[in-house]
Order: sequence, then structure tokens, then C-alpha cells
Amino acid sequence: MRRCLAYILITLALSLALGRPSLVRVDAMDRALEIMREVDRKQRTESRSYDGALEVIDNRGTVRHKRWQFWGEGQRGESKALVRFTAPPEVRGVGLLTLNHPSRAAEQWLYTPAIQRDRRIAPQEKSARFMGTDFTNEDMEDRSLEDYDYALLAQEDLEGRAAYKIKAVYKDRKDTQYSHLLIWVRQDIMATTRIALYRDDKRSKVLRWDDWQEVQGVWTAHFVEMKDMTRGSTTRIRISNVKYNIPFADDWFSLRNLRKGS
Amino acid sequence: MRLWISLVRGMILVLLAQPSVTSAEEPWQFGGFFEGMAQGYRRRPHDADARAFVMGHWQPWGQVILSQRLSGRVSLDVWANTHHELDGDRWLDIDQRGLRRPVGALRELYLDAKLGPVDLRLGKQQIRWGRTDTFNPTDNVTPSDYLNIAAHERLPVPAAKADVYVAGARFEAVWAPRFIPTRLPLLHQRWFPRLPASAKVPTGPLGQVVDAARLTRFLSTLLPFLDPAWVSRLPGSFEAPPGSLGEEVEVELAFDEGGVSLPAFSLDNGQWGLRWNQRVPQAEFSVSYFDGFDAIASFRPTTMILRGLPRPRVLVRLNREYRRVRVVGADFASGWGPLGIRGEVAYFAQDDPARRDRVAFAAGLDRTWGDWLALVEYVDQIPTSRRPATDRPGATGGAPVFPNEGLRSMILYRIERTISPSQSVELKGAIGTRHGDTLVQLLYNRAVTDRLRLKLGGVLFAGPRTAYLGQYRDNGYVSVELRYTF
Repeated sequence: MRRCLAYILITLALSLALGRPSLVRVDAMDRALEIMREVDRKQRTESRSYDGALEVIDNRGTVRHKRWQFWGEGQRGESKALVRFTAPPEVRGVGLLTLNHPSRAAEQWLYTPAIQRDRRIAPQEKSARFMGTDFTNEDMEDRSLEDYDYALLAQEDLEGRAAYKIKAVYKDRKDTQYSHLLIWVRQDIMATTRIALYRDDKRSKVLRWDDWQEVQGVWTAHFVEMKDMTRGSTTRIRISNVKYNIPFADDWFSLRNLRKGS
Repeated sequence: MRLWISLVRGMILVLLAQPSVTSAEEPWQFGGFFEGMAQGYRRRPHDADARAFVMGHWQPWGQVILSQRLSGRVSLDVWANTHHELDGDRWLDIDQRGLRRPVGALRELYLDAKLGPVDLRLGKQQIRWGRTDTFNPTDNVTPSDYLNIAAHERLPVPAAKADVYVAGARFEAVWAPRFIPTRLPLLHQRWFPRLPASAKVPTGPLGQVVDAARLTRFLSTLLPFLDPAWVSRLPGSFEAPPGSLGEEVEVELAFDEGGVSLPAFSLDNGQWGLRWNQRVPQAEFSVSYFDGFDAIASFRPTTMILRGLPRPRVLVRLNREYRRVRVVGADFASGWGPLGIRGEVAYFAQDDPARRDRVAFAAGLDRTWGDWLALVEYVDQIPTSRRPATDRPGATGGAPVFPNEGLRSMILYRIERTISPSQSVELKGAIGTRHGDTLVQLLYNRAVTDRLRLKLGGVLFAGPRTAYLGQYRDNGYVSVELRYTF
């Protein structure tokens, strides 16, 4: 017992001296990563699609409506996604193709049917709004779990339900606009229900999921809200027609299909 | 013959077959917009010009999806305006080859077919090449509508286009059998260059005599868009009026539209182009070749000397011709630290002896942060051959008239700010580094409802009249535009 205690004390002292994470922190990091992996495992599907009805509300309360269709395939970090607007008429056919890569930055292209041109979204455009919504181009990416450092901060009540509170810091700081994220994971269904996104350590946006329903055995949020604290605007998405594990043609997530425009 | 019929039947069956892929597309889709625009000008460069200009535009479209492999689209343009820019006799213009905008026109009519790795598009369509923001020297298949130089549109062309996809590459092949010219500003209207009412013409070698060929050559030095190599087909001469001494004589000038010689429509006289697009990690580029016609007319003046008037009067007819051009081009887009970087270059080999071969390029940087976008581009055109008359020392010259030659040694810029999800403001323009001529455009854009958009704008030109942008300095305007999309 004495040897064990001595070992812990020496390790702690060395950790402090060398600036390495303490055992407590390492444990918190491991536990947080474990939770995030469990969330990922619970939500894991081969492919997915849904219809989204968007409300974009500006700081004066003016509401604009949009609709999109979403298709996704593959696992976190190496997934592919295609979003295509179906309304209002002036953006019908506008599409965003995102190809996520595990070892490098995601690639994105935006297609505008009115000028029949697709345009690669450069890495420095990640902080730009996506089609007038409160989502940025970066928010439309789906990054690998391992791309973040995690720390379990607390277990707390969130809207009457027990939740894990986890801090996530993206490892490649040059490739993100956010300094860190605070993630809340609902313990009963092991699903992420809220993320606070921080810029320069100031809370910039809050992403919230609600109206959880089980679809094909997967707990699925049917309501998503992104609140931009800086601009005072909000984007709400009502999700319907959710489908999992559907087959896609080989070139569905390609520039060729993006250019089809409808 | 039977074999052909069987093959066509087989192909239709293959194209109509539904693959087992999820699709939520409606088989029929319709849409379009109504647009009303009013412009107010401060000055009237020509007597015929008005200070206010109102325009209406209706563009309906329809699309049919027959299967995942076969679809089609049709769209129309219907115009109304107060500025005599419309040809009221043409209610459904298929070609859009006229000098004026038709009241009604078939904008697009094409069929899309997907055959394995090949996407085929047949019919009237818009083909856009290039990756830079404003000036695309590689983009020569689809002509422009320059009735308003500051707000030009594109004119789709009848063509067959095949896109072949191989891994990260896309190969494009285009064949456009029927030539559609770029629509230029109308003679005697504000976007056409100022034409002199009189000129002092040098007298001929035989004393006080001016001949038409000499006059034409003189005019081409005065107005650089006229072809100096052209010799008048209407020979004539006049004697200088009594009392006019010296080496020059003053003549009154009148300008008129002449004939338009469009390239013959034959299978071997079409236009074609090839483009290889390649996607690589964090960048993309393309290399292209275009063999077609220069869509901007070459003006061949002919002069007619009118006699029996108190002062010599010369009628100059502006005839339009189109000559072949071959364009080798390349473009790329990538990132450079926090900046986006885009570039485009093209070499133009002209068949027209009056036009110089040239290298045109654009290189730009852009930066996005939050709700801001800033973009700056440098464009230039470097002649690689000489033009006989206007390049000679002492030629008076004027401003280049159209963007094909006018956009030289210029910095183009665009700053955009998204104010809210439904409002944005944009400032863009150009600065000529040689003559200090400038263009400034300010645009406020607001989505009034989900379907109704309001645009308020202002355009200002400044600089010397002999510079490309400065020649339009009487054409600054403010505009209001309302668009209802359905």
C-alpha cells in the first residue's frame, strides 16, 4: 500500500514537473473519449438521408424559410455528404458536397445552378455562413472523433435529464474557427444534445438537438437549432423522412452528381 | 437501317430504366422569375438617350426527369423595356443572333443523358469555363450580352457537350455548330462609344482631294474598334471646299449600322473545344483549347461621300464580321495560408489581321472571415503581334471599346458583407493602373420575403475619356430591382 501511494505521489510530482497531464486529467480525457465513442457507436449507420425544413430568424425576428435534402454515407471522419436546396425557388438546386478525410482537411464544393458553376470552398472560407443560415461551412463538416482532445468536465442536469459535459479542442488549430467546444451528452440515450461553440474562448454559438425519436433502432433528433450569440440570429431545422442504411449509386457523392443541380 | 432503329430503341430503353438508387426528385419541375428594374442616369451622352430606363424580364423554366439517366430542360426569356433595345418583331427567337434583344427568346432547350462515365448534353445551353471571379479569358464558348457593359448576361448556344469522368479528372468536349455572336451596345446609345460628329481629314496626295480609302484608314486611327486594314468598297473622292487650305479638311460624319456577315452554318465551320479538369488534394486546375469564332464583331467601315452639301459629309457604315480565333487556356484554384488563390491565363491566336494575338490573364487572392469576403484580382492583356495602323507612332486612337481589349492592366476588387440572413451589401469595381480610370459599383441586396428580393445599386465611372472605363463616365446610374421568384 505504501509502495502504491509512493508510486502515485512520484507520478503526480513528475507530471507536474514535466508539465504532463495528471492521472486525474488523463482519466477524464480517456473517459470523455470513451463516451464520445459510445455516442458514435450508438448513432452509427452506413448511410442516411432526411428532408430539412429550415427557419432562419435574424436579430429583428424576420423569418426566412428554406428546405433542403440531405444525403450522407460512411463513418465519422471519412463520411461524404450532399445537401441540396429545394426551396425557396431562388436557391433551388444549390448544392454542397462535403468529402471528409481522416488525415486531412475536408473538401467542399458549392454548386450554383443559375451560373452552372461549382466552386471549391477554400479552407479559409470555413467560417463563412452556409447559404445564409447560421451554420458555417465548417459546421457542415463531419470530423473524426480522434481529431479532438476531450476532457470530461462534469455530470449535470440538462433540461431535467442527466448529461455528461465534455470539453473538446480541435487538434489542428489552424483548420478551425473555434477555440473549443462544450458538448452535452444525454446519458439515457447516449446522444449529443447540445454543443456550445467557442471562439477566442467566448461563447459564439449554441447547437441544440431535440424531439428525439427512434428510427430504425437509432435515436434521431427531429429538431436542430443553431443559435448565433454574436449576430443574434437562429436557424431551426425540422427534420422529416429520416432513412438509414439506404443504397446510393457509386457516384452519388461526386462533383458529377452535384452538378446535376436538381 | 433496322440495325440503327434497334440501336436507338435499345439506347432509349437503357436511358429510361430506373436504377435502384434513392431519389426524391419530382418528374416535372417548373419555376422562374419576374424581374422589374429601373435605372436613372445623371447624364445623356447622346441626344437619343433617356435619363430613366425601365425594364421587365420574365424567365420561366421547366424540367422533366424521365429517369435517373435522362432529363430535359427548357427556359424562355421575355423582355419589355422603354429604351428601344428590343426587337419587337421577334417573339420567339431561337438563335438570338440579332443586334437587339428579342421580345421573346428560347433561352435553353436541352436533353441530358447519362451513359456510364459520360454525361451528354444536347441542345441550347450555357457553357461556362474558368475559375477566376470576374474576368475569365478561357470562357469563350458562350457569348455575352453587353447591351449594358456594367451588367452583362450570357447567351446560351446550341451545342453538344460531353463530360467524361475518370477518377479525379473530368474531360469536357464541346461542339457548337451554329455561331451566336456577342450582343454589343447599340449604335447611338449610351453604351456604344462616342462617335465624332465631324473630323479634320488629311487631304490626299493630289492636293485637296480626299478619297474614301484614305478616309477609312484615318477613321480607324480615330476609332480603334474600326479595322484599319479594311479598304472601302465604295470608292469616291471629293474636293475640299473653296477656302480650306492646308493639309486637312473638315468633314461632317454620320454613322450607320451596316451589314452583318455571320459565319456560314455548315458542319465543318462549327466551333469546338476541349477541357481537362483535374482535382488534386487542396487544389484543382484545368487546361483547355477552343477553336471557334471571336464572338465580338470586327467592324469593317465603308464610307460613302455625300455630295451637293454645303460641307463635305461622309456616311460611315459599320459592317460587322466575325473571324476565327484559337484559344489555349489554363486555370487553377487553391489555398495559400489564410488566402484563396485563383488564376487563369489564355493565349488568343486571331485569324483577323486587324486583331492582335494576345495573352490575357487574371490572378487573384480572396479572403473570407466571418460575414466578410474580400477579393482582389489583377487582369492584363499582352499583345504578342502588332496591328498595322493603330500601333504606328502618332496614331490618335481612342479607348478600347469592349472588355476583350478594354480590361488591360486593371485591378478588380469585390468586398461583400453579409449583414443578416436576408441582407447583404457589396462593393466592387475596377481601377485601371495605366490611366487611372475607375468603376465603382455598390449593391444592397435584401430578401423582402422568401420569394421577393430587392436590389438597390449605384454605378460610377471616372477617368479620362480615352481610357476604357473613362469613356463611360457619363453613364453612371442608380438602379432599383425587384425580383419575384416562383
